[in-house]
Amino acid sequence: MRTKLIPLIALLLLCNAAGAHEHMPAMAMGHPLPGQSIYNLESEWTNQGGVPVRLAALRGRPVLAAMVYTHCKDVCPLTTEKMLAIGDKLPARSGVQFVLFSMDWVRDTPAQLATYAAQHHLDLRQWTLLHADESAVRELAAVLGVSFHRDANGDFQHSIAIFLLDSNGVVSAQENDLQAPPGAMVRNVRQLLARGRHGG
Amino acid sequence: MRRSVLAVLLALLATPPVVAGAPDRMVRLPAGQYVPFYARESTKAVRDGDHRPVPVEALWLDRDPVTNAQFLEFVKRHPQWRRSQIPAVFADGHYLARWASDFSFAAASDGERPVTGVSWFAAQAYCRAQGKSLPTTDQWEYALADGGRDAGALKAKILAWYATPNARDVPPVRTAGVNGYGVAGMVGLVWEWTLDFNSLLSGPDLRNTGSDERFCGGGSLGARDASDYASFMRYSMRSSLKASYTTNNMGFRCARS
Repeated sequence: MRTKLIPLIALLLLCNAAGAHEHMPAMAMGHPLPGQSIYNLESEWTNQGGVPVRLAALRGRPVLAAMVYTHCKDVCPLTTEKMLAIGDKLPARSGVQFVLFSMDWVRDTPAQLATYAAQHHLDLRQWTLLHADESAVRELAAVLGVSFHRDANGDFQHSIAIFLLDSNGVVSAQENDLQAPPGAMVRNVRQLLARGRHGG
Repeated sequence: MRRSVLAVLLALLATPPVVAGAPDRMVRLPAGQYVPFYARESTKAVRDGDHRPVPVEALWLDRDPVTNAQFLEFVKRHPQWRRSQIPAVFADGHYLARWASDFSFAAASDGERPVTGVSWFAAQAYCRAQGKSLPTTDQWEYALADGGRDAGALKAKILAWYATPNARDVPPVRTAGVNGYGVAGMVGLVWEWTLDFNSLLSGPDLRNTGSDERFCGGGSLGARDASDYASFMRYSMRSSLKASYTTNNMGFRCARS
C-alpha cells in the first residue's frame, strides 16, 4: 500500500512545485488531450491577479465559461448573473470552476478584471477572469463559435453563450438564452459531475 | 524652378515606390475607404439607408493565395498542423483532403495551386508563423473593390465565377489576373478565409440582448445594395462558416499592417 502511495505523493508534490502547473504541457495530466478539447489552444492568458495561465491549467475540473467584456452595459452583467444563479443551485464544493474570458483585449487589463470581480462579488476561489491579446481572443471565439465585432468605439457586438466544459475542456453543453431559468444548465452540470464520479 | 520640382514629383508618383525590405510576394495597398455590403454598426443613419464608407489603413497583402507548396513547407516545420496530427477541434474530417499524405499531393502540379481544405485555425496559424495574420473582412473586401476601378466589369466577373461550377482542380495561382493594386486572384481561384469571418451577427444570436434591431424584418435591410447578389453570396457564405470547416474551394492569403 505504502509503495503505491509514494509515486502518487511524488506526483502531487511535483504538480504543486512553484506554480509549475500553470505551464505544464497537455500531457501532464497523464493522458493526451482529446482532439475536441479547446485546451488544444496554446494561447497565453493572464488572470485577474496578473498570473499567466495556459488554458490547459483549467484541466481537471468542469468549467462554466463565457466570453464577456466588462464595459458591456446590458448583456454581459446578465451573463455573469446567470452564471452566479447556476452556481447557487449546485452542491457546495461541486468543484465547478467559473471562468470569464474577456474579449476586450485593450481595456480589460487584469486590474480591470479584478475590479469587475469585486463589483460583482465573485468568489475568486471559484471564479477566474482572464485577459489575453487579440489573437488569443479570436482563437478562443473561433473554437467556441462565438461571433463578435469590435466597433470603432472599442465596444463589442457579440453572440451570447454560457459553455459547460468537461474536465478535459471538451464543450459538453451550451446555453444561449439568458432569460431561461438556470435549471437546464444545472441539470447538465449535475450529469457531468455524475459521469465524472463514475470514471466517465 | 517650380516646374522642375513638379516634374520630379510627377516622376516620383509615376514610379512604384520601392520599399526597403518589402515583404516577399506581398503587395502594398494604400490607405483608403470602402463601403461594406453590410454595415455592422447599427446606427440610425445606417437604418435610414445611409451607408458610410469605412476607413481602411494601408496594409501589405499576399499577392496570391497561399499554395499547396507553401503550406507543405509550413506543416513540415509545424507538426501539429499535419493532416495526421491536427486536433479535431481545429479542423473537420476533410482537412487537406486533396493531399495524398502528410507530405505529398495527388499530383506534382498541385504545388502551384492554392491550398484548399484548410480550416480557419490552420490558415491563421500559417499566417502567424510568417509574422502575418489573415486579412480582416474589411481589408479583404477593400482589396477586392480595387478602389472602384472598372466596378461594373469586376461585378460581372465575380458573378460569372460564382455561377461556374467548381472545377475538380483549383487553377494554378499564375493563371489569375492582377487587379489595379497588383493583387492577384481575388476572383476566380478560391473563396478565402478572413480573420473576422465570424463578425457578422445574425438575428438569433442577438435575440435576447434587446440591443440590436438590424436584422429584424429581414436581412436585406442593412445591405448597401440589395441587388448586389455577389456581395450577398460572399457575406452569407462567411457567416455560415465555422472555424473548423474545411472545403475544397476555400483557401486563404495573409496580410500585414
